[in-house]
Amino acid sequence: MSPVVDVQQAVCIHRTADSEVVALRGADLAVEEGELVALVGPSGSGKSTLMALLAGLLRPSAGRIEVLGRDVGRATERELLVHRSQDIGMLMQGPERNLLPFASVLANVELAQLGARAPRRVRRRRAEELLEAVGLEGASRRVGTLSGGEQQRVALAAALSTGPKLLLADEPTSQLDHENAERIARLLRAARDRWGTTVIVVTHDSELGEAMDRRLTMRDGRIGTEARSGEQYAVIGRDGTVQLPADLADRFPPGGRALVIRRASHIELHPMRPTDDER
Amino acid sequence: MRLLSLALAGLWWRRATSAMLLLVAVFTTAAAAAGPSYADSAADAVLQAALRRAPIGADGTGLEVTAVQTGRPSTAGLRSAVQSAFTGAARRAYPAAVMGLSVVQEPATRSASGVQLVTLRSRNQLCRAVRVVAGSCLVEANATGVVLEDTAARAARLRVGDAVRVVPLRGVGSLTRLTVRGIVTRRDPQSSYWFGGSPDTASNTLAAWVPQSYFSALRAEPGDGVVASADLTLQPTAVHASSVDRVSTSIDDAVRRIEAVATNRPDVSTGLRQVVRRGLDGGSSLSLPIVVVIAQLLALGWYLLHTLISGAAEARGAEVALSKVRGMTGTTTLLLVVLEPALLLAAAVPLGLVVAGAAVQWMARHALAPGVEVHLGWLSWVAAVAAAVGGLVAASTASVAVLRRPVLEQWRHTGRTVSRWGVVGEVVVVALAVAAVVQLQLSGSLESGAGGGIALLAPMLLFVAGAVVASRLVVLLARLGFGPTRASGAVSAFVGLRQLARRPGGRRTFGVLVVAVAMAAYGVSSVAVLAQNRQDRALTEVGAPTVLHIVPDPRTDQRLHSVDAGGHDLAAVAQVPVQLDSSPGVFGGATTTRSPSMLVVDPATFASVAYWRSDFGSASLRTLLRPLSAPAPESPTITGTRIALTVSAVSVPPSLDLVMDLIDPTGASVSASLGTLTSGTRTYTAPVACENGCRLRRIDVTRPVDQVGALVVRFTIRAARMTAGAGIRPSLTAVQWAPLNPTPGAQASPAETIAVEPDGLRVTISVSGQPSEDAPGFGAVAGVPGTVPALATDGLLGDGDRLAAETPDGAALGLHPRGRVTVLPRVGDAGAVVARDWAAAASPSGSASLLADQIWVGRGAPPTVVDRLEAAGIRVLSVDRAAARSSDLAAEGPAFGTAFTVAGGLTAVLLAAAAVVLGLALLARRRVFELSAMSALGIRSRSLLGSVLVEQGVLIVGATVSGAVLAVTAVALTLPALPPYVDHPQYPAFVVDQPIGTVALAGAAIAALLLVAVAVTAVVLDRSTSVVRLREAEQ
Repeated sequence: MSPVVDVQQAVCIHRTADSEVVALRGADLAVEEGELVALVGPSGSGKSTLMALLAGLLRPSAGRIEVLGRDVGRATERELLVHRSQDIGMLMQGPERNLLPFASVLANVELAQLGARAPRRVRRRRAEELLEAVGLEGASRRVGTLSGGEQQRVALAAALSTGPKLLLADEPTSQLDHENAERIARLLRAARDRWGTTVIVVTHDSELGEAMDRRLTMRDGRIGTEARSGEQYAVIGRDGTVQLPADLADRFPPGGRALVIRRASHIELHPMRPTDDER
Repeated sequence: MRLLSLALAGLWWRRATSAMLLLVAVFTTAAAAAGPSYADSAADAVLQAALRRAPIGADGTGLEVTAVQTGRPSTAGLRSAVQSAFTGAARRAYPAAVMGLSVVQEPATRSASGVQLVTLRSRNQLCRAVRVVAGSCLVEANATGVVLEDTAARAARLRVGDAVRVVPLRGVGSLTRLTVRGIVTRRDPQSSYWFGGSPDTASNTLAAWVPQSYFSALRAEPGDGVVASADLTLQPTAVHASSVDRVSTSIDDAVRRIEAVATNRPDVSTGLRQVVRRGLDGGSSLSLPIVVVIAQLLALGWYLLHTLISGAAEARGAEVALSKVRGMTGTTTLLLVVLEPALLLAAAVPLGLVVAGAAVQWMARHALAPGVEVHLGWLSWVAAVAAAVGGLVAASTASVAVLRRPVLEQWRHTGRTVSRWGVVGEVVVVALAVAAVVQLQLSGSLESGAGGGIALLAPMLLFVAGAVVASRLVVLLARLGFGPTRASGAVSAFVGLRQLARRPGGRRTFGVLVVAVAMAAYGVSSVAVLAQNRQDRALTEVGAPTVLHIVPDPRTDQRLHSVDAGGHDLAAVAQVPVQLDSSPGVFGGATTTRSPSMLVVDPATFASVAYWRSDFGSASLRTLLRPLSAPAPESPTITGTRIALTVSAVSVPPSLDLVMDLIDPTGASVSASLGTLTSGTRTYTAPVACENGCRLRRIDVTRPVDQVGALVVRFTIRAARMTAGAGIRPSLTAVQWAPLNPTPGAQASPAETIAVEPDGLRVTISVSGQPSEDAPGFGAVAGVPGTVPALATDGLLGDGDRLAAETPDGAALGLHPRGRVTVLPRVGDAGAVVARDWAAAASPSGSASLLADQIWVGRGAPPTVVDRLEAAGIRVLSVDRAAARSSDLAAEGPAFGTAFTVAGGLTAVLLAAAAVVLGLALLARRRVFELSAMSALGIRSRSLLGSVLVEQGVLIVGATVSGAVLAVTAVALTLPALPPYVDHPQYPAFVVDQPIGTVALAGAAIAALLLVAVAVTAVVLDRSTSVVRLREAEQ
């Protein structure tokens, strides 16, 4: 079975009037159906860019990005519209990016299905189901009057309203208190459990990251390490390079040397003290 | 439907912004809708003014139906025909008729007053319209009792009880002896009852009012000329520009019906059609300025909508991004963004129409004339819808730019890349403005079809181009200010200038403000300039603030002196039409086609009172008239009742009479025949009626008419004295003499010479050939100047330096121009001014034809001056007022057009004010984050507030100054090309003397208004600033 997300050697360069910023430097990523994946990493590491590529909001400068079997780098604008309106759901940071503050809760969830061209009756029923699922009452309330947590739950309902196979969530808990953040994490997992939705979350929230099946750490435009089931793995790049976990940076500074000792059961990596000349 | 409800919810959510956008949209649609409506109303006002100014009689707006009567004359048939014919619109235009009968008969006896014809008239309800001065009014029972108006009675020297005998008509039953039953005056001479007719003053025709029973007693035949008349006075309010065609058709139908109904084919006469055509032509001149103003307002409104909706759409960037993220189609996303402004624009159409209607109503009442019709015709609706559609296009183009931005840019609030097309557009606008001004200067006029094309938009293009350049300059200046403000640590100034330099919204607002202020200042300045020119023209045409037409009287000067001893406020003027001698070399070839007039004045008082503008001549009027004030040559004054002249004569032919011509104090000519001249020395005497002094005019020798051919005579007047009376002052030898007939006929050598010799005044007459038949005889004229010094216009003088003119009484006047001017008050470019003393001295008949017929009243005269003059014995016939003339000019189309310009300018300022406030409100959120960030860095709140005020202050003050400068420039460049009047007067020249102070004041007021609005917004902004907001700003 082919992965839901298959990113190979993705490169993305942002061009501005007087400079170019390389946001992704040959990133690879494969996500299977029903997985819960967290993308973590420092600001500017390329997480949001990767999410935008997956959503078809950006096109890669190089490499290949397949989502649900569709090459989003080569898809037409019409195909991308279908991609965003039917195949994927998006949950962004901040309520104003997810919801119309002047519309009601129900209208927002219904509006999210407008691109899917479902009949109004179906949209309404689906919206009510989802709102019930996220535990929100008062569908006629205007979004602007809701608390931050409530708004994010409405946003999640809206993102799931078209029944997407893939949910992309960018910092879904950034403005929430612990209780609401935990609730969102539970709902994401419930979406996978209930509808089989694959979820990719970009987050700085370690607890949310821990709640996901896999936690991929991005650094300098590439996925460096991966943590799953309490184990931490370094990701070997196509050119054979390995990014060490960030917490080893002080022992393996950039430009330094590492002594590699092959053992029968494993390979040891020792930092080499620089010589006086090197100093 | 879902999108519609979302749009409505969005409008309510952003209600402050929505309200402001709605305001701009309403202003825009209202401006568009008001144009056609105002044009219609102003055209109607022009028509109404033309109707009111026209004579109310048949030569003007009145309609007269006359029918020759036979048998027993009566008005009944004609009345019935008129009543049945005039229905509907024609009836409303001419609601009532005054019926009358008239006949002209010959007097049976020639009266002493010289009455040659008697006009007998009856008019219904006469006694209600007159006041009885003597006797009583008409009664039907007394068919032979007539009443006379006081003027007619005075002219015919008739009193109550006098009899008027008339030759009977050919028919039977004519009454021949009429008795004057009463003397009456008109209660209201201006009343429509009189149908524009003035009281009869002619001495050779007696006009008398008779009862209708007089006519009933007649048996008229067709040749007797008994006429029944129906005088219909127009009700001006029944004729409007919108209904004039309908009314005209109705009147034409009525006339046709009368012709069909009346037994005797009636004559219908009216000048209504001509008056209406003049009025409509005057109204059509409105369209040009109104189109210009509308175009400017629409351009500004659309630009504002584009700018504001751009801002509003940018502020809704997250919604656009969300729509894209949700996979909505481009159309759905566009609808999501455009639907809100579209709804506002849709609402703006009816609201704009309501506002336009109210605005035009207000303007009609205050700027046009009472009673002018105001309606929003289909053109207003079309204009409002077109304005809204234009706004929708502006909204769509503004939204498309936002829709095209990538989602990530929307989320990150990254700045837009400045398009190079913007710069290209600015260059195009500047080039168009230059082209428009060049076209305007080349064509010289913005008349319909003359200037045309791009020149029509010259003012607006100038404003926009100026705004573009000024906005670039203000950014440049702001950048130049970075260094000094940074170095000085002036945080407020530094931050303010930085915001101004980097924020495109600031430049846009600046541009809008410049254009708006320029439009307002242009309106204020152009109205002031046009009003000044109207006033100048009115004063030039009238001559002075007020000119009274009076009955000429030799005692006018004396009476005038009793009212205005100083001669500062009143000047007696005789306006004399003059014939120019067209012989080449004498009259240098006038360049004017107007009939020339000469003003005979007292130079000192005339200079105080007459209107003068500096471009009329090279100096002040007083300076120019100074050479005319030199004393005129004197002639001797004879006081007494008998004069004696001692004359020595030689070679005297037979039958040659010696005659003295004198002028009595009333200006009348008095002749004293001294008898037949004989050879030798002899004293001749003659009685003269000169107890109060007469001026010696001439000493003539006359011969019988049948004695023609050569004449040679020489005589010397040795002494002159009064045998009864005070004497002669000065003596005959002390004054200047001139030959009466220096070169009679074709004789080349002088026929007469006059010389003052030690033994007296020697006169030599030597005519060798046949003098011409119209030669005035021979003699010596006393105190006659060779030429009269005059101030004349270039148009009259042409290339010549002398004028040979002739007064109406045939007096030859040799005028010697002592100064040239382009224009003289009242007589314009075809006239001259001479001093009365000189003119009287030069006129053989003395001052009789030069008596003042006008009194010019200066600005400083009290309002009661007319009453005081009448109390002093001066009879005022009519009054010309410059103010009234100016009002007439102000009621012409172009003047109404400028009123609309001012309204447009004020609307533009309001739009701009709304744009400034809304622009700030739309930017408020981002600015709050910026200010919050600075606040977090420790910059004091006061400094942050100061930075906003510095930015906005520079923006507003800079825009106001730029706008005012642009307006002054545009007025100077374009206003002379806009037709200021319906006609094209040759003079006075149109002068652009701009009220810089007023423009500056208006600019300061606008700037103050905007600064207050901005200060309030800034304070609100400052209160919203807190470090807490930074968290939101980071998103």
